[in-house]
Amino acid sequence: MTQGIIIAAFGAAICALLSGIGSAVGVQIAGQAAAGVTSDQPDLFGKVLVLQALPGTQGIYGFLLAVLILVQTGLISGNPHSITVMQGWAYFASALPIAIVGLLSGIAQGKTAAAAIHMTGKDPDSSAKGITMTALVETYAILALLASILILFSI
Amino acid sequence: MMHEISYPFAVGRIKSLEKNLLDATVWQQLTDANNENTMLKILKEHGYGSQSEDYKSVSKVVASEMKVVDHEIKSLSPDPVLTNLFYLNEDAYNLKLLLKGRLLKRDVTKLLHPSGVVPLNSLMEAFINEKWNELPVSIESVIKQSLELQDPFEISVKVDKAILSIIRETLIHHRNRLIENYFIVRFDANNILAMIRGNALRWTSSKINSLLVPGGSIEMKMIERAIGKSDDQLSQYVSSGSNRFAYRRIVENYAEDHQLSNVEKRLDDFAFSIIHEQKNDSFGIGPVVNYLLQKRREASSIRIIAAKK
Repeated sequence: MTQGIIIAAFGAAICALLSGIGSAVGVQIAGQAAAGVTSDQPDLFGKVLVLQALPGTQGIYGFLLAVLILVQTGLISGNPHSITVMQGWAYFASALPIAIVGLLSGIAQGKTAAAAIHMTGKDPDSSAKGITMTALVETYAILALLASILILFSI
Repeated sequence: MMHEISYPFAVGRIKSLEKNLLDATVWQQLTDANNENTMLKILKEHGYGSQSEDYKSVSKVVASEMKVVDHEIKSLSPDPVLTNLFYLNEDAYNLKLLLKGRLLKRDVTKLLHPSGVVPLNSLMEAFINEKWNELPVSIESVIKQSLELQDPFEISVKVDKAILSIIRETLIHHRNRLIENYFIVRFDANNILAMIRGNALRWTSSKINSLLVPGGSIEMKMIERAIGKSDDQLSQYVSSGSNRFAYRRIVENYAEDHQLSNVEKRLDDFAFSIIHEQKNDSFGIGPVVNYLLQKRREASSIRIIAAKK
């Protein structure tokens, strides 16, 4: 196994790790808000569950990119390609956009989801507006994922 | 150790509870009601005071509703140190009653307020046995300072000042910008009202000075200078600090209508507006305190409407 492969593996790990943490924290924040609302209005469970789930997507994006890096480097099949240190750093660089943006946007989206859940708690008819507001944060996670994929496939 | 209740959870629950606040239609119905019984019917229809065992008097229904609210706030607050500050007024009321009852040898237990920070049983037991050391140190200190006083007015002043001092000390050690801003207005309100009331009743400057408390945004020396001045001159003495425009307007209005109750209400509205602005902060104490204050104002309005029937 070359040094380049190890650096690429670190890249795969870091994008799954950071975006996963971002999602976990975001879902936790939204979950606390959802628990507060449903403790008094259990019938709103369905509406607030959608909002709570939204910050979970960053973790999926990070995982997706990690799998793509593992496929590109042959690590997933157990026969890693022979890549240089510079190529290894390039794979690592491809992981950074979704890793960092995934971490921060997951938390930010969790906070927005919590506020939207509170809005739904007061006015259940406004849950669609809340979903739209929360989904807007997603845009930047998607852009980061695209950037990561473009870098990955240009190596 | 971190408190187990998070702000998102507490605010989520508060937002659900806010749905039960009486709306404009209900207020109109209550105002139009011919008598207290009709008011009770309207309140019952909207689930107000639903925990009340005795649905025969508005005051009992309101007390029952507020008991539920107080329990909710105390069990829900992510930062009980801050929310407890809003219950110290009830402790002040209880302490004044008990101290005056002790002085005048009257039984005041039926008049005590149940929702103070200090449990009523502990407070009553302490006064029966004259043992204060089991009460919180700050409350013990207030009682000890007031035991020798022979004038009910002095007892009130001593207790009120001591409670405001506890609030000020707590906020020095437990910082929160929103709650600090609210209580700065409360300290200023105390001083402005002392100034206006003292001038109206021609109290001596030493008596007015004894009512003033530090911690507000208006310098105390400005208030002292206003003693003895005519109503239309007072506004220039409150024109300092971050809230000067609001205070100036309130005191100018007083110079026109000469109604002390209006000054009290406007200062109360201004303090409430500071909390109300933060009612949608999903990660702060604002919505919790806003709900408590809104329920208190709601209770007060219902009592006023009932009293007019």
